Amino acid sequence: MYKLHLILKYLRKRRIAWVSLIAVMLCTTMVLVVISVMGGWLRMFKESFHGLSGDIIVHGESLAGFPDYQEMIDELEKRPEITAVVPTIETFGLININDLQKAGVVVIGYPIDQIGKVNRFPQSLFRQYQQYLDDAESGTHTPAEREKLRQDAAWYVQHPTFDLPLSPDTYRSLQPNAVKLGIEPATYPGMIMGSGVLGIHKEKNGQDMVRPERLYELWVKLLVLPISGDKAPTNLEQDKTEKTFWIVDDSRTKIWQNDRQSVYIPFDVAQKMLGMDEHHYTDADTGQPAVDPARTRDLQVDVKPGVSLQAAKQVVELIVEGVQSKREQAAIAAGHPLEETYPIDVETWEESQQTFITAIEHEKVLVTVLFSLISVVAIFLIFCIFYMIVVEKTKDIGIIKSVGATSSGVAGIFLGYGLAIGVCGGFMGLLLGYLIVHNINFLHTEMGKLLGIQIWNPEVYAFDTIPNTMDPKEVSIIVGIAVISSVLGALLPAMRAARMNPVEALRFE
Amino acid sequence: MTIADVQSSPRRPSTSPIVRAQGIRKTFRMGESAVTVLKHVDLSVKRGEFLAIEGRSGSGKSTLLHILGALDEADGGSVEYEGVDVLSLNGSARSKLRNKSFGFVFQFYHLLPELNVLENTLLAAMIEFSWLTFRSNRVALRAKAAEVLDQLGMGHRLKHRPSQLSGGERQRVAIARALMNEPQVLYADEPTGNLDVETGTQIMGVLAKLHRDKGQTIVMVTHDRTIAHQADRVLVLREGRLQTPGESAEIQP
Repeated sequence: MYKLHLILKYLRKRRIAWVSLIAVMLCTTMVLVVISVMGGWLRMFKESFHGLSGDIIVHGESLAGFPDYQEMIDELEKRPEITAVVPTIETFGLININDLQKAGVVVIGYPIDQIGKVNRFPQSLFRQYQQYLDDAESGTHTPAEREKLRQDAAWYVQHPTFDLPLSPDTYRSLQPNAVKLGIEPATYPGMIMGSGVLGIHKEKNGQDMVRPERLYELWVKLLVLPISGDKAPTNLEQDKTEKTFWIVDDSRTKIWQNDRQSVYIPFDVAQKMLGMDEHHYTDADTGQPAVDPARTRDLQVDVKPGVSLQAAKQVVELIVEGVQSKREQAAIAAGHPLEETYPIDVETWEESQQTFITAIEHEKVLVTVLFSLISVVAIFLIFCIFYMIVVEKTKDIGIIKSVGATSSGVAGIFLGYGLAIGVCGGFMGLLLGYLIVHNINFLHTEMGKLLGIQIWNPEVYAFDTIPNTMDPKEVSIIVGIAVISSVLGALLPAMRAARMNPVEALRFE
Repeated sequence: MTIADVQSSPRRPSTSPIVRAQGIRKTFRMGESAVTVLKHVDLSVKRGEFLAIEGRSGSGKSTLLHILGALDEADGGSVEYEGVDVLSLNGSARSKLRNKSFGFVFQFYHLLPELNVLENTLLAAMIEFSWLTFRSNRVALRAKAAEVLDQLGMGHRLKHRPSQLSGGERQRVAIARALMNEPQVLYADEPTGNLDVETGTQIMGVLAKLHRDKGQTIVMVTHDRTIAHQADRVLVLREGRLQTPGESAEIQP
């Protein structure tokens, strides 16, 4: 009883102990914020990258891609482990947006009606998804209207499209010169722009995004370089392909690098522009007609939930190798062995991003170690303060012992004192850490306004928002370590107090 | 006889010694020099007796009291309490003895500054009982502490802190704390040494009343012959040995 009573008294009366409490609180907060931001960053990184690719990617190592992909898709979709396979194309291009902006971009060809089966691209679209959710959250609607808006958003996720949002007459009015030349502007295909390409991203001080007006009235001219599947040399004068598009939507994946340099076009259009569609030609060596099969750059494979990705990857590898082998054997049987091979790599989504994920994981470990070292200072601080308290309380220790307290009881007072400081400091640190992490983007914005500094640079950290979630497991471990550290800091002074001779303690001046 | 037996034994007038010390030796060493303060002390305290040990400053009387009260260890000899060799007990058993069987009153009061008068008085009970037991008996224990304080004339200052009390009041609180667990032996180390004559007389009156009314066994050390002679029996500690006043050795009653 006396231990608890004295601990509570000392907590209230000994203000020097509050320094320990504040030290524990600040260290806990510091480590919590760092670990939460780093851990959240890693989680965001994984989720976002996984959200933009299938579980397994069959990747053509060459920009030329690989053929027979439809056969691969048919074979793969027969497997029970696999739910969907969607071909995609990725290449590089130059764009001219309405003569307002010219830039180099990554061009991604998506079969938009299928892409939602393998990734969350449809949820990144503004016009066809996010605007309905934003509208629903705006608070200007009745509950029924909000529900309707959410249903609209859900419908668009299932039915994303490159279709033009404006009437044909509007497009004609926007390009009168093209009409005069007999070109029908309303037949231009649609292009979805990465939000960053259009300058739609959070300002450096964290302000809300600004959207250009009349965005869907802008045309975009795209220039790409087709890469033949055969060995014919590329003629830059002739082989370039240029095509005009209308902007139909913008995508914000929240991955800065993606959003600032990617444009999305229909898969079949990309295939044609790059010469990756099936086409017939005359073989220069034999003079015989030949067929260049349709090619894709990637296959995004969605694996059934619960199936091991490594096991599914082996299945995919076997099927891909089987299809490739069949093609080679058919060519040998026809008497003209294939001169060109299409190297294909099969990897899980994590393997495809391993370079980044490993780097972030290592950075997280490094930062954790560094901040943990700083936190060790708190243990020494507690040790010093408790040592001072024990010296200051020497006479009290003698009194308590003279009244019958055992040595373990006296040690218990100071260990309990350390525990109380650890528990209070740990939980106060948790509270402060939660408030900081939860409002970190607001704080970052305000700091940006006030001091003109930007700590979280999206160009460096890949995301335009700072992660603001805490992992309960990590929180438990950090608070637990804070409590244990406090007890450890109090351990030696407690042992010293326990060993004190009561008579010497009573005589202490 | 075990410590448990000792603790449960009722307080009763008796001619049998409650505390017996034989051949106690104690030497203090500081570096290479050594000072022997107790050379060969034999002592017997009867139950219900008020014994005063008189001696000059530095004669070793406080050391003797600490050894008798299981606060300090002797270099030789034995101390028996109710037939149990105190010096052979382990630390925990000695703590229990100090808590339940002995009470201490010191010259400098030694009250805990963070606790108020009532809490200081309750300290021995807080140490004796677990948190749960104390909580369940809280009302009775607080009432008992208040009663003890009231008997010592401190009933009106229960919530005051030691820093708000006079020297005499602090010593009364120290006596109350020592009496809280109804000790068999009350050890008083210069209880009036830090007080003026009038207050010292009042404190001696308190001790004498305790002895007279409740049969409290008291062993008091003091340098003040006038104070010492208020006890039933006086022994003088001189050159590391106990003597009766004017004699060269203790006279057994």
